[in-house]
Amino acid sequence: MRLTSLLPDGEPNCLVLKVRQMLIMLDCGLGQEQLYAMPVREGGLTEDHKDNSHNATPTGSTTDNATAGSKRKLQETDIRQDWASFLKASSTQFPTKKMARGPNSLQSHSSKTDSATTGTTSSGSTSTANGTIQAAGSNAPSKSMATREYMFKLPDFSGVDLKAIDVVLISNYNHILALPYLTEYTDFQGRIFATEPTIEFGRQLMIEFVTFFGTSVTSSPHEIIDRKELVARAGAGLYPAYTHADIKACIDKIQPVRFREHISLFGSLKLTAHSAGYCLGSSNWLIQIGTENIAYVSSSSTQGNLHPDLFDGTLLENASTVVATDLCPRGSFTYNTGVNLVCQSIASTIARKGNVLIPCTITGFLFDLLEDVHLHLNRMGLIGQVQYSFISPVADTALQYSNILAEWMAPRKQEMVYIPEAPLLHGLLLEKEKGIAKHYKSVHGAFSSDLKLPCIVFGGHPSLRSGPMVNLLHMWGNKATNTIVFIEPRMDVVAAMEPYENLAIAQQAVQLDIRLSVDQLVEVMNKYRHPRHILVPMRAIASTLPDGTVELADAKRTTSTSSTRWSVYKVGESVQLGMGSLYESVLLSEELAKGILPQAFGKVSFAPIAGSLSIYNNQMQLKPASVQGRQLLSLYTQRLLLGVMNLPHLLAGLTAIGVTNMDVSESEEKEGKEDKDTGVPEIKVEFELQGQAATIILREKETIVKCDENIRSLLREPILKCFQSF
Amino acid sequence: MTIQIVPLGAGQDVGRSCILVTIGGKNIMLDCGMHMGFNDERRFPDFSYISKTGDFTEMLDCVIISHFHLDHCGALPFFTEMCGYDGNIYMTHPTKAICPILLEDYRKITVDKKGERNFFTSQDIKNCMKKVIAVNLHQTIMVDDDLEICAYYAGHVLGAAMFYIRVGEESLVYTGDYNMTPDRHLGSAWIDKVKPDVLITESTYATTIRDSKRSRERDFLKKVHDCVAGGGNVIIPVFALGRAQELCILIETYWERMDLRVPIYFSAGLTEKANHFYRLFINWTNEKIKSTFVHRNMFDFKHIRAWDRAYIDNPGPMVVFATPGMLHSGTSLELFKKWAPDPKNMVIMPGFCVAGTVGSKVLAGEKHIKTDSFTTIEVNLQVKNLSFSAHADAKGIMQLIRQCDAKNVVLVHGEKSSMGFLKSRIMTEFGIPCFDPANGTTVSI
Repeated sequence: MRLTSLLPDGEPNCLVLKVRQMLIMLDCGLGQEQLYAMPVREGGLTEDHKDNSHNATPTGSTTDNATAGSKRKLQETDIRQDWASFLKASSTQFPTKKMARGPNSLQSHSSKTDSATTGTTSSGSTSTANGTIQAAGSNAPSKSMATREYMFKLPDFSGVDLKAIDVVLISNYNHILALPYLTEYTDFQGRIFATEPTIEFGRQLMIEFVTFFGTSVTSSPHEIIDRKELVARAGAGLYPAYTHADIKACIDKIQPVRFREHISLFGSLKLTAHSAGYCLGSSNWLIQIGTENIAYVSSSSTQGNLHPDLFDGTLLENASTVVATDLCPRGSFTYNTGVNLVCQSIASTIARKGNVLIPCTITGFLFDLLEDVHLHLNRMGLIGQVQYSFISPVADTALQYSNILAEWMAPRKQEMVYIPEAPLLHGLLLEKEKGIAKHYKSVHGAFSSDLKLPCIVFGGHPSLRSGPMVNLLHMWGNKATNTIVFIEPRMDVVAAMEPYENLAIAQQAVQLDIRLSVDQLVEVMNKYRHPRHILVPMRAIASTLPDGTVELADAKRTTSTSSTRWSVYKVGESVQLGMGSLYESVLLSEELAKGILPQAFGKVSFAPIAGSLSIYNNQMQLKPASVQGRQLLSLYTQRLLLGVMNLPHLLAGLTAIGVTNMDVSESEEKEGKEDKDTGVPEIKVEFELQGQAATIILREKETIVKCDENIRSLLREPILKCFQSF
Repeated sequence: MTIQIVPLGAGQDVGRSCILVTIGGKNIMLDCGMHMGFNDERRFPDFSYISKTGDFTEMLDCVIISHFHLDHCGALPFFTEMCGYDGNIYMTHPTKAICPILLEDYRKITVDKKGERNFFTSQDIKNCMKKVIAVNLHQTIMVDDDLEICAYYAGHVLGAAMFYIRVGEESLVYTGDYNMTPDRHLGSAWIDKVKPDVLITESTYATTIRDSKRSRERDFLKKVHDCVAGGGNVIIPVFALGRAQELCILIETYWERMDLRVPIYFSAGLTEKANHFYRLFINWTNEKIKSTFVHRNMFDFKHIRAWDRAYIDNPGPMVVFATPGMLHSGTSLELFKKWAPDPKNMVIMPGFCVAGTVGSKVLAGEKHIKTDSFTTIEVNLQVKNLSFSAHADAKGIMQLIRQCDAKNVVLVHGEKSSMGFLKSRIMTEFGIPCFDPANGTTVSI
């Protein structure tokens, strides 16, 4: 098997796994890193004010990069080079593309309606936003033409034959954003599997993504992205976001599954999703090919007090290889330690009549956090004064949809629907009569008229580069009584706040991380029968040992043992693992099974079986042979041998037939090499018989006799003497 | 190896579904229903068949309940709490949520109104439900190392499921009740091509091929409209959950379109709760409701209000959905008694009535119905029968047999005469063996 990671450690997952003939893509996430190198924009763009905004916004980005922290500089320059070269290329294309749009009116129409829904015209705050950024920035007019678009770096598809991918497995909504690129812009033809909630939350996240970072009316990605080119040099360039039409087409291609639903493909590949405990519908996948079991452990959580269904470890019971991804970095806040800080921070802000901004996606542990925050405010007696607002183009759908997923929740939450009651608290808070919580598509319209201060706002994009948080930061950012609380893991708070450096708003970064840490991973692995191989990402290890295995960065510094081998995978490098599987499972027909008469040999019993092997749909069955087959079989009937080839017996046997000068040499196991001929320990016996040189090589699973044909028959006896026959 | 099938109830009959299956050495009970036409010990299946000594837990590997109708789950608390079965019980989430409510409702009517003793208590129902393991659709459950079960969508009522059962290389599908045509709030039944050795299917509408959905709906609405226009009251006996919601959606949209002001009531305090269940289990309804629920929840009714007993003397036309559906007790019987003598009024009997209930007597056209030894009801009102019950018709049953590619078919949950007809049709059309065992007789395959 071969595993290649297409995105760097710390980014969402995108891996390609090749096992036997199958090419499987594990998740299809979009890199988030480059977001911080991008300009700030509000909501979306509209035809009316694009002229001022495209002058203003890109200049903002230039400054952001100039002042960026040193640790990020290298990466950014890379991206910026890519970006610049892309811009150069695309700016020359622009005029011709525009000319060519005449007949393509349907397309342009659809993109117009897209932008009309996404880019609700902003009011006065737009000019403030531009003003602020422009004041901080310098001019870069040459790039203004095309930088209206946000550009995204895809997983590195360059080394992958996308057409050959058989299956894509999605583990949760965090790792799905690049999927429309794969399905709509390449010649990918495989099948895609995800759980129902993953599909729905993934769809919502894509819509949010397009609304925040989608293209303006001047171009649609279909015009810019040349399909063939993307396939040819994927990974090399940056691409604009896809469209709403792409999302729909992509989502329609995903086949929904449920936990522990057995999916069987091509007769030989079996796939099963198991609950990962991370969010609603989050799954780990068990991939079974022949007798080989590979467990793909994506974002998982063993935290017991959250709303998603609990972590289901049964997939590890039979796994021979485990691929672990998306681990929580060292030193993160766990949910239990961080949640109090978040509550305190919110409560103290509300107590001083300040507003709280929480940039986050409306999914995942937010639903648990909300319950804890509400409880805390209640205890502090602050509940009467506060209003929760959820602002996102999908806030309404996300909040309502999450509450009908009781079957995907922890048993404690499942019980609630039997009462019946909404399993998640926000169902209660959102009830109209209560008016404690409200949801809005964007900051424009009803939000400002409904607004009751103080207010806690959830939503927007954690990068703070687009969406409602941008407006709200300009509105409330210069007051020190307000607080912005960062709760999302996987994001860079410093980079996110760069464009807002001078704002007085209080900042609190409590990035709650419920994912498995390295310690927890080791703990989980120890609980189940040990797999032979465990593959972990770079961040999980402390050092690499000389023999190619690794020392883990957990408290006990776990290393490989004889039964379990830990190794590491990195972006762009493929890891090869020998599967060492010599067996296939074959179904024995009832008729044939009845005729088995085992004979005892010491402690074990054996029985010979003869039949004809039929292969249909990759499933093998051993059936009684036909009359004709039986005749053929009888020709091949041999003595069956039982025993182990051992050296003393062999040497004694050789002496008996007159061999005298025997040269016996043993070679040790050589670690780390997959090469078949040298890696296996062996015993070599060299001698001369009747004047001719001969060699017998004994290995664990084979014996090789090298000699001339005329003495081969003489060697037969001593070798057979090592075995019992029946 | 043989698969043995013994219906303890629902063999050549409708009511108290309970089928015992032995497959690959495992004993499984499919459904555990009660018969609503009887008030004596005949209402429960004859469990002594399984074991004379009462060690049910050892005899059975698991009990599977297909949906929440009482003729499929009504005897469950009796079996677990009073007979002492303590093993695994499987049902879907909505069934687990709704079935205790119906059981409690039924218990109240039998014990409180009829004053019966020796019946399960509220606590029994609660204890029983604690033993239930809820399953998801398509999720493969290993009951033990050899026995696996998997649920498929059946569309009959909210949470209704068909079960695929496999032990080694032997497999079986039990359909429970199902519907092959999508209706206003549920989708149609669907199953993989699992090629079961035996398909045990219901056959309620074995001989009918019902006319198109649309014309039936038009028919129904016209009858209701005509009656209220003439100043009559309409009583529609229903079960609180299931068909009722579909009819509510239908009437609600019609009232909206025609701008009618005639009040519609829904009896039983269950309405609000029932609709809340539908809101929480929206994933189990059909695609259309699922995709629009965020903006407009189909189960928020504008015209339909809760029934109060005081309204019974209100003048002038009204439409009342009253429980229970077979007119055997409760509000529906009370209303029926009051309105039956007036020919202006109308009763619409949706679905099927168990023999022996008032409902079945009404359907049979009896003009004087004895409810007990003292009361006789004059029946003058118009009686309409609408087969709104979401069962598969003959065409649907054939379709399912084809879809799952069964090797043998066993018919249950239907009238003997119509089963015979369907049986011969299946044998000629598919060329596979088909059986229709009576209660207590064994089929070995």
